[in-house]
Amino acid sequence: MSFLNAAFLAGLPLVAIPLLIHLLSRRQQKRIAWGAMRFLKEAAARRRRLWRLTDLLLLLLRTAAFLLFIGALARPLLSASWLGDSVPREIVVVIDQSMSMSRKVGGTSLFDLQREKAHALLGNLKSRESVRILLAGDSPEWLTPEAVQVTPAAVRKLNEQLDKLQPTLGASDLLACVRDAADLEASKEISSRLIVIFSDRQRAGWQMDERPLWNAIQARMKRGAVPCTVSIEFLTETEPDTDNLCVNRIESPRPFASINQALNLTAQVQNHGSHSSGATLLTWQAAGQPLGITTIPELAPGASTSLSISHQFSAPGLFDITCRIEARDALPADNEAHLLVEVYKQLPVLLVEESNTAGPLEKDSAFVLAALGARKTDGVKTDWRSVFEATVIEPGALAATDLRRYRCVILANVRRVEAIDKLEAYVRAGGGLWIALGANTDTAFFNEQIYRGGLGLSPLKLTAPIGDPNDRERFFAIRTSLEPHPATALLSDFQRLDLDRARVYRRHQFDNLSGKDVSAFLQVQQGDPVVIERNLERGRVLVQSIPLGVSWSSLPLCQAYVAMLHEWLWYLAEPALPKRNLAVGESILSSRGAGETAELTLPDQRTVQLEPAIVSGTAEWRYAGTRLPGEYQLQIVGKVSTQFSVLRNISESDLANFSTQDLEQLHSTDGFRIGLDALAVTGKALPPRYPIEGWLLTALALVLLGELLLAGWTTNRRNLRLAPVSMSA
Amino acid sequence: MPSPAGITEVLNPADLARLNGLELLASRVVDGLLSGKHRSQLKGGSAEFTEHRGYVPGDEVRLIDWKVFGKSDRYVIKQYIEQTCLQVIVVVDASGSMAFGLGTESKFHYARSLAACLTRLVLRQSDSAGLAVLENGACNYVPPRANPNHFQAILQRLLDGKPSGETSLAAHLTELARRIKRRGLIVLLSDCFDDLPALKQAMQFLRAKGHEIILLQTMAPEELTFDFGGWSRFDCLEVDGTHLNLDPGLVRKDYLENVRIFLADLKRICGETGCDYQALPTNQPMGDALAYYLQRRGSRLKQT
Repeated sequence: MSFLNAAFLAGLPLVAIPLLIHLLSRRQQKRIAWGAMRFLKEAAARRRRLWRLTDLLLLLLRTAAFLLFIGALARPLLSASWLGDSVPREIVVVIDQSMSMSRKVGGTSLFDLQREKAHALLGNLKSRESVRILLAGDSPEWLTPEAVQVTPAAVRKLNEQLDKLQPTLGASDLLACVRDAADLEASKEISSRLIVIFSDRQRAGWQMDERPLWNAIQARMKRGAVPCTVSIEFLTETEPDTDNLCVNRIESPRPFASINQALNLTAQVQNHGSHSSGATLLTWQAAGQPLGITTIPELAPGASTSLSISHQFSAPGLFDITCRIEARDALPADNEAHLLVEVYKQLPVLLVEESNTAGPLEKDSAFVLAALGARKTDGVKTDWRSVFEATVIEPGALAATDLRRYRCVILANVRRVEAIDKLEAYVRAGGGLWIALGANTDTAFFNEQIYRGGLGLSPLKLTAPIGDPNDRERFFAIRTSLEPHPATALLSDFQRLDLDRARVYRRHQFDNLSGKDVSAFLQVQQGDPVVIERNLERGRVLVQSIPLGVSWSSLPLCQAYVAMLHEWLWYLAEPALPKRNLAVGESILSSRGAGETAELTLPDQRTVQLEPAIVSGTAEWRYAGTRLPGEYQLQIVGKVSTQFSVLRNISESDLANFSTQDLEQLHSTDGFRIGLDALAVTGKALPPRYPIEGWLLTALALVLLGELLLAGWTTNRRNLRLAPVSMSA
Repeated sequence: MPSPAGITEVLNPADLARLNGLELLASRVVDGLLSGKHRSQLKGGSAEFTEHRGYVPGDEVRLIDWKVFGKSDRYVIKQYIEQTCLQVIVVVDASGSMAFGLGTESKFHYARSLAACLTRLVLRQSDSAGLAVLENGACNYVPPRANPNHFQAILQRLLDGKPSGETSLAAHLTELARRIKRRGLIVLLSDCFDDLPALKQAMQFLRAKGHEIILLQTMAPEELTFDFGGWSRFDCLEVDGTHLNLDPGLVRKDYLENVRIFLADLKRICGETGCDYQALPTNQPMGDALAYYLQRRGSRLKQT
């Protein structure tokens, strides 16, 4: 028994008070020398038993009253086992929905075997037990929000829910499931918790090598509200087949493309099995149309290879690029990978340039436009070969321009910009800003308004320019930064591009000490940055210390210029473009000018209603519950549906089973039971404890009532009005 | 010879004064030759004239009633009932129970005063008085005498009495019956806390021997009310070491019932044995109570 207010037990000695009073009253008895003893003896003999019993009963009642009162104040908790109660448990059944559970053993998938065992377990639960079901994935998700008391109807409903489940493409973080289950609040009725996990023996998902994590999990289990035991029941007696050739992912420089622009697609294929894989084929498709076939060579266990294909999209739209390994192995689900590529016809770009710059060839915009492939037709209309369609305005018109129409804004050698706040808001909302400095640049204005102590659009401030644009003999050579960056990957290919031949005669200088950890795209050979990057909330800013024209450098004359322009415009435009290929847990975000409720279909065909939020005048639909890899379809009312893809966790393709050391580690982990019938695991169960002060107070009331009645009867009897005996009667 | 203080301890002059003019009468004729207040069954002598009968040769000439001869010319003699001396034995119970007295004097002191008054009365009416004090199993006996100076001996014996121990009334009465030769009056002063059937038998024995018995029962008022409170220890006055620890209130009803039954039985026994019974609780003034009794007894006897 335990007590909530044990301090009151210090009053237990008071229980002796009635006994002391009883004894003291005996000691203080009067002594009477009596003659008529014979009459007294007869009377006493007749009543002795009664008054001794009454006396003893009163003493017991008074002692019990003190005891019950002190006991009630101490608020004892009585173990249910004392009351003959059984020890009710809470069973948490972890259903592994990971991709590896789709493997078949003897014609039946491991997931179906798991489902059968879950059904059997639910059928064997006792009525006083409660059950929860936890779906294991990249992050755990509760199928039952609350614990379900085991009743036939409840079990039937749970079985129906289990029957609807299927394995997914996701991984399973089983240790996270143990953590979440152990952290559950416990109701007063349950005394222990049993976490049942049906394992396909796959090592992945258990993070066996992360000892600190295991120690932390054990500590959480010990700290839990009730004692926790984990029962790992293997689905098969033997280890399943682990040979698995897998397409880890499809990569491309960017998941965007323009019409008729070749996009290089690379599939990473890996042999996750324990045996060498034979050569096989990899078929490519785009939106269901075949793109080509590449050959996968023999791969040693653990080895990987990259297979590429190039494709030009002839129409704008969203294309699902898939590649599939044409081979049978233990896990067919990871033989296919997807990549969504969004193809644009045009992406508007705003070019801000002062019109007082002399000569069309001296205008930076001319070189930009040329690089973007602008050419006039009919003397009026402009055709664009690049996906980026530039509109040129003067700095004064910037304030009145709706920047939301443009994916990127280029400030080409602009002295001052009055709409700095507008530009900053534009960048923060996801827009891209390219500030190309030049002869017109007002250093003081730049430092004050654009650098703004490091809080503005530029991560570094300017110092005095260096070099003489007229001295073509002295120049700076430039290179990409030594830190790899996706925006400069193409430019680094000096065999195909000639960035190393670009000459910079004059450049603005950045004060390297005015900012920390600044990313540089281009540097002079000595290491000073030429082009620096700033990420400002959702958008990106590039600050280039040389103009986009030829006034200070020969960069526009290089082949690399066009590639640079395109790569960096894509890079700057990317934040504002919808991100279609997401990692597990990454939010789906879709924006439109206006919109209503949208319906999102998840990979397991469940649907979720999404309400738009208005951000900067634009409707946004956001969904953060992307725990399942696969295809997500977003249907906005009145609009065409749009698609997102959540990529697989490649660690799930590693089908390696528990090693002997792993099994030893599991066996020796406190609170873990391996390979036993789950319900036979008793664990360290604490029977529930019930507060009984209510009962004690009731008993006290009855005792006091009894004492009152008995004492009253005794007093009444003692004080009977009896007539004295008359000798003469 | 008892001291004056001792005498006043036993004999209250006020009580004696209360008994002036009263006499202790026996209801039955007594034996004895001395001149006293009581009739003798023996006829003749200077006793009270009862009747004439014809003269037969051999009768004493002095008994011839010459007045009748002068009138009737017949010779007749007078017959007389001779008044002889009444022998009164006062038996005083000096068992331990008689020592009880809380709010009043002890029963023994009360009985002792009674005994003194009675013997004084008897001696004053020229009857003989004796005393038996039953104490601690023994009988301290003072033989009856009609000499007024015999009162000193009786008083001394009363003064020497200390109530203690257990005493069997019945046994002592039976013994007394064997000892006493002449029929007389036995006055028993006791609380009679004894075996009643045995007492009855003893009384019957005494009555069969021709004795008359007066039972003056003394009890303390506390023994009749038992109005005690609180847990108490009752120490037995007759048997040392015997005690009872109890709550008086809880046994009071049964105790009083026991006393009631005892008294009823005692009175029934007295009725059956022809004994005269009088209850004398110690809270009644002894003189008044005794005077009342003697008056009532005397009136009753004179009517029969």
